[in-house]
Amino acid sequence: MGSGIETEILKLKDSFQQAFRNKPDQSFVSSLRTAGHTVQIQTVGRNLTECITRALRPSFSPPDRITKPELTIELWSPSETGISPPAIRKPRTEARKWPTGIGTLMISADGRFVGSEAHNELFWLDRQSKCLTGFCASEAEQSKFFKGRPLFFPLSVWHRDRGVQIIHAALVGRSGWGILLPGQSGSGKTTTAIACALAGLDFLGDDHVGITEKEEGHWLGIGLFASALLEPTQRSRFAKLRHAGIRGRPPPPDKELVFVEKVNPGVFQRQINIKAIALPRISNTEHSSLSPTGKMEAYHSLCMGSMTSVIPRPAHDDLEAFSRLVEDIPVYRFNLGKDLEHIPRAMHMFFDELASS
Amino acid sequence: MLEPTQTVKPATGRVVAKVIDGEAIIMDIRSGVYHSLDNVGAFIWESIELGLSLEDIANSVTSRFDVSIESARQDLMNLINQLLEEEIVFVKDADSATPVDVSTAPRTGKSAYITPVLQTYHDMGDLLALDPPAPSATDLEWED
Repeated sequence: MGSGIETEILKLKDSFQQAFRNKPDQSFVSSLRTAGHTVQIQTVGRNLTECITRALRPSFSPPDRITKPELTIELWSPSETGISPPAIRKPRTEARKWPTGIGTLMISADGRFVGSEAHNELFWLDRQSKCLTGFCASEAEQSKFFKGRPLFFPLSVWHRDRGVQIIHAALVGRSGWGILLPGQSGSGKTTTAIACALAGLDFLGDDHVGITEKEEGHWLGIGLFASALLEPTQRSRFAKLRHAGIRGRPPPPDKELVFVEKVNPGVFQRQINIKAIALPRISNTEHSSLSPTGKMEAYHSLCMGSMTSVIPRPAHDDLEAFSRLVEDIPVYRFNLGKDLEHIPRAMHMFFDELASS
Repeated sequence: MLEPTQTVKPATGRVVAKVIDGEAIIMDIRSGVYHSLDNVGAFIWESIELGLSLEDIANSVTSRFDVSIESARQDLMNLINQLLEEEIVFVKDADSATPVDVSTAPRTGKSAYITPVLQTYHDMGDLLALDPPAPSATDLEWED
């Protein structure tokens, strides 16, 4: 028998298999693709499946051909299936642990296993066998974070292993072209992304998106979750969102969850070519506007936002990638005016300008 | 005491540095504290990255900017001492120094000289210190 963590994962797998066998009417399997990789999702529990599907499925496309999955996700709901989580030996002395604000991130000493634990939920990603196994709280007990961004930390690590860096930015698009909006909390990322999504522009994320360098100078943006987390005052500014809030426990304590696909079906996009970087900034003007700005400012914004808001924090290679990104892609400042309806109009004008240049 | 023949080297395991639009930004990836150097300072940083000796850097500065060799040397030493104090660079072992061709084409006009100043920013470091630092991607290293 291997380490304590391996034993723990084997127990989780046994319980998952038991739930899968015992509850065939609540067991669901689907093969999907994200960032060019096939992922198989196996869930046991109708509400759990609905929860995972709502947040993740729009970001996963059906596979164009059946290939060996690059990740198998095995999840069950103890409350829906009656299969209790196995007894776990604690403390896990062999794991390094970090608080994440929504729970605890755990990493085995050799880095092979990455775990995420929160109230009534536990997942372990085995990077070697490419399998993510765990259980979730009942719907009533699920946090807004889990509902909106399920499996966030293990999926971040899995994406990173495949050359997709998760960064702190929003991403909007039109006709396959994307504008990346990096910035710290309060800079206007979510407002811009939501205003654009409600007006029919493509939405790939309001806070965390993936980026990957497809070839030299050519960057792809990856949409991860079809959800947005907004301040209540922010949501109340958008009439279409007044009744769109999804209930859930904290964390986050001060944000409300919205699914963009529910509000405006079809706006979520899985990936897009990044054609410009626009640094959002709230301004006192009525209308929004874009103007060229320095690349250093964009580099600083990417570093600052991602160093303080992304887990795992960027390392040396990531910061190198950020500098290549800002050198490859034109950089602008996006001054957000008070008129919310003008935000997408300003973006449309900007896309027109990009297309003609 | 630094000698003109000595070379300093960026602490690459600890800092990430980039020169973009004529400004160098040097980030301590552990603490989040970052520094910037513009104009002459950015030129000096690029020269450090090239592996030039301190004397060669001072000479390069005088060939590019309108400044006397004495002032260039003095300002360079002040800057290097600051960089050493911040642990952004370290003095390279003399035995491992590699010769670098510093020959530069004569310049017809020199740029205005501005004494290089190392600007240090703690805003990101303060944020990292408030939240217990999350694991870095280097904490997740794993060989398949």
